[in-house]
Amino acid sequence: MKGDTLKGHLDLLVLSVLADNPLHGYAVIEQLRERSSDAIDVPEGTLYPALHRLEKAGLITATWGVVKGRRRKSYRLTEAGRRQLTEERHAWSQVVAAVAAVTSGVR
Amino acid sequence: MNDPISNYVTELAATLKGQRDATDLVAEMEDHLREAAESLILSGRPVILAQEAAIMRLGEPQLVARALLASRARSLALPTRFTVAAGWLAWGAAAVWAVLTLLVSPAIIGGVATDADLSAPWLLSLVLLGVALLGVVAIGLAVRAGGRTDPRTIATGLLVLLAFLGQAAFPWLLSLWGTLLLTTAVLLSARQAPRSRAGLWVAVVALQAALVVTALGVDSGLSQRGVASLVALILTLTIVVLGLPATSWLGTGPVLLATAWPLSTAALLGLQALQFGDPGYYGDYPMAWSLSLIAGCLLTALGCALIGRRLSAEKPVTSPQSSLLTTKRKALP
Repeated sequence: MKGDTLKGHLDLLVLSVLADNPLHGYAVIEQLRERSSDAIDVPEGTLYPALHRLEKAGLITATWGVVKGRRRKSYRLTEAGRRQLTEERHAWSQVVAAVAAVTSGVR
Repeated sequence: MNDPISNYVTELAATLKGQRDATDLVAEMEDHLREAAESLILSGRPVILAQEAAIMRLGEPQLVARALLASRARSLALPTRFTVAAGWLAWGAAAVWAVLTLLVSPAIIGGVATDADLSAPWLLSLVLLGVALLGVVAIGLAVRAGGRTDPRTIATGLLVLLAFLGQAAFPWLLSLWGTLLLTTAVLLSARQAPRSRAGLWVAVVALQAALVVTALGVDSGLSQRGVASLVALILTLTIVVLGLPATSWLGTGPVLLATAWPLSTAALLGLQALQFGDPGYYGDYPMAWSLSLIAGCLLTALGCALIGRRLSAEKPVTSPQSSLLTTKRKALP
């Protein structure tokens, strides 16, 4: 999937994969690939700025642990993040429905 | 021998040195790389190739560092081939200003340098060459801080052009053009991750005030020069004493460049107030003028040399945008 297609929707994607379980950064990328059957392949260098921005906005929160002898930062959704996710899902479904309505007659 | 990920982490840590939360950022990136590499190893890839592939997917350490800091509305110096070339030109600028230091000294010129001397074609040509080289160095600093197309880089280019044209048209206002050029360069490269917002603003205000006072000092009557000198000196000391420790971006080279001409002006005004040397035809003191020019040229030469040493030794980062903006996974080695 082209980068421009994903542009502006990375926050929604990240919040969505964090909705079920806390995940560390690499697991977020893996989840995005798995759930989209490899269609969504986020440039890895761009994920962490997005995670940190969402953390700063209070939509996700992070905790540090030790796994395999390494420090690991895991992210989970906050209540504010859950509300934001609901709003963004609703907005996205409206966009999808609108685009589908316009393009459905196109051959 | 370290593995590729260890080398990457070392380079990233060096790039982020001095930044808030640098340790956490580096730990998070290392965990990401090792997790990615382990995943590839499980799929049958040899260890070294797996690590190199993981690194390639994440991006060059300088780019990753800049992206991480950008999310905090900060930035990071990013060397390119142009900024390295600007570093070598800074060495050239240092040589030109060192020569000018000698030429404006009383021992070289018969008598002393005066504002009229600066209009002499041979000397003006050399000064213009020095200003032009300084302009490239200033643009190099701006590119290094924010990229070629950043509005502040374009602003730097325009101000460099203004300073060059101003020097050509009004050569006796060298200290004004020098201050305009150099404070601009330093201020516009201030995006290089200031440690303290307060420190940044102290430096910004002090540098801008130094520019105003320099203009005032150059164009003022003798009766005002004592006050202007004192104010210029205080502002320059403010830059050095308060601005320097509070900001990581303000290295010694840029500080010397930014303060060279305000200090020169302060020296001129102070020496004029003290009636240093024999009075000249216009009622001023040519020896004071000469000594202040020496101070300005010498500090500029030193600043250029320090910046040249730093910029020319850096390793340029190639294709700064491509590896972060593509969503296509790069071909694995």
